[in-house]
Amino acid sequence: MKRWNLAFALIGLLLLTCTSEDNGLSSQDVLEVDMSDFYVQTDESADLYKTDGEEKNRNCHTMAVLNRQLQENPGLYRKMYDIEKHTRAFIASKRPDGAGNGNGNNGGDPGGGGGDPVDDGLGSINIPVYIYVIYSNDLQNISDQQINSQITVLNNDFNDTNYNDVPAEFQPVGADIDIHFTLGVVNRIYDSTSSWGTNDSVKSKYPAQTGYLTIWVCNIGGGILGYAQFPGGKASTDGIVVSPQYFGTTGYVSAPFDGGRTATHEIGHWLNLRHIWGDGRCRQDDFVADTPTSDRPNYRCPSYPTVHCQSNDMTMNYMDYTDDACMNMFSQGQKERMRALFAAGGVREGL
Amino acid sequence: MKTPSLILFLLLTSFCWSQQRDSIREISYSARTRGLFRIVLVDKQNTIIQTNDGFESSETPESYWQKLLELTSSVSLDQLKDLQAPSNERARDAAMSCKIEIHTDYSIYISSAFDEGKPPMEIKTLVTLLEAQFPSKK
Repeated sequence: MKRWNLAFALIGLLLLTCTSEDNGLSSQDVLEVDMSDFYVQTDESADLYKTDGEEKNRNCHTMAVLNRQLQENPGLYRKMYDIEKHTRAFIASKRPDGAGNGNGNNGGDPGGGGGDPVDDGLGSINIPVYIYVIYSNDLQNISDQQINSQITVLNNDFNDTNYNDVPAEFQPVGADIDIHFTLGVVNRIYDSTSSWGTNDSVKSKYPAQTGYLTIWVCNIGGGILGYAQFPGGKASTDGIVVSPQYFGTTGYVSAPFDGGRTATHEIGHWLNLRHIWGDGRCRQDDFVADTPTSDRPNYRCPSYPTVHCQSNDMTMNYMDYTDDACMNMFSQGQKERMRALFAAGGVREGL
Repeated sequence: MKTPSLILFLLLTSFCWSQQRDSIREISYSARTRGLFRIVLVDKQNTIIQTNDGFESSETPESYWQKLLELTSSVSLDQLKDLQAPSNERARDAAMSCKIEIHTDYSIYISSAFDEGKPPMEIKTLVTLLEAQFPSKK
């Protein structure tokens, strides 16, 4: 009888060790996460920082998920995984106390943000912009004035130092990203294609320009305002695409997306930001600690407070889906993610 | 020993009872992105379609409702929220974000999100049938 008890105790212990090192995330969390192949998961990356002694715990659940994702899209997933790892390592290394560096995610704070602002030592970052205006009619051949109005919005949004216009609870995390955009080249091309869709066909015809943020201004169609490519994708398609009606603030623009925020949002993606609700349920994160958890996008101009997942949504964040006039902030944690790409070894270091 | 057995028995019977009586009242499908939405909501009586262009209501044909129920019966409602989408284009705004909702007498089951046109295999036929209600797809 005693032997049986011992056996049970051993099995129990085994089960316990398997689940106890998940940093509060049960295997359920991983399985429930609604993400497909190239969405790098929080706890997988956190596992990378574990010491060898904890290595075996990974096998409980993480590797199965990781393997599936790698199988589906090995190249891209790997790249994004590495970028995510680099981002977190860089942010952690810049924290005064070294929190999160080399020792897991430090109590569920893998994405950075939420603490004191981090000086990453990178200073002001300047991004030269190459703009393709691909038009099939005169309206779509937008004016220089309209293009300049978009550049102005980008420079305002990425260099915001006054957060008195956001609710008090979000003011402390409002960030001056300190990234500047300089208009380099405007290339106007007539093309009889009247709508380009979201399958990158415009990019295969007019490839991205190295050394620039490439913006294709062309009619996407199907009601899509703009779309982006995350860091880590193909160089020839790297950049953002915006329909002319939603680009800039003057000329051929269409309310309520006539505030230039579509480009701000898409450049957020291009700089490694996820949607603020994490594209999933409450527990799926945007990898940024100082943005509240949510399980859905917000639309139009929501009243404050808008509560989801038991906290007030940051509906005015550029990475939500609200109208142009109703978004006006990036957070400190988002700033850290974006700027980490420009650090040594970062994917956008060359810009 | 008797008391736990009795509790178990009661639990099981009440579970079966509620399962039996919990029937589907409405099924909806929504596709959204910034600046664009399409929703179709079907119950036994009415089919409501809402898009950026407006609102449209019509009677639900009995055969259509029966077909929906038939397709839904092959879906595990409890697992709707855990379905894995085969693609993630919505994360970069390149696709509308879609989900289905099934309301029963006692519960609301909401699926995980998926890209428009690329639903998880388990609900593909159901989604196609719901999508077909949109004017542009008719």
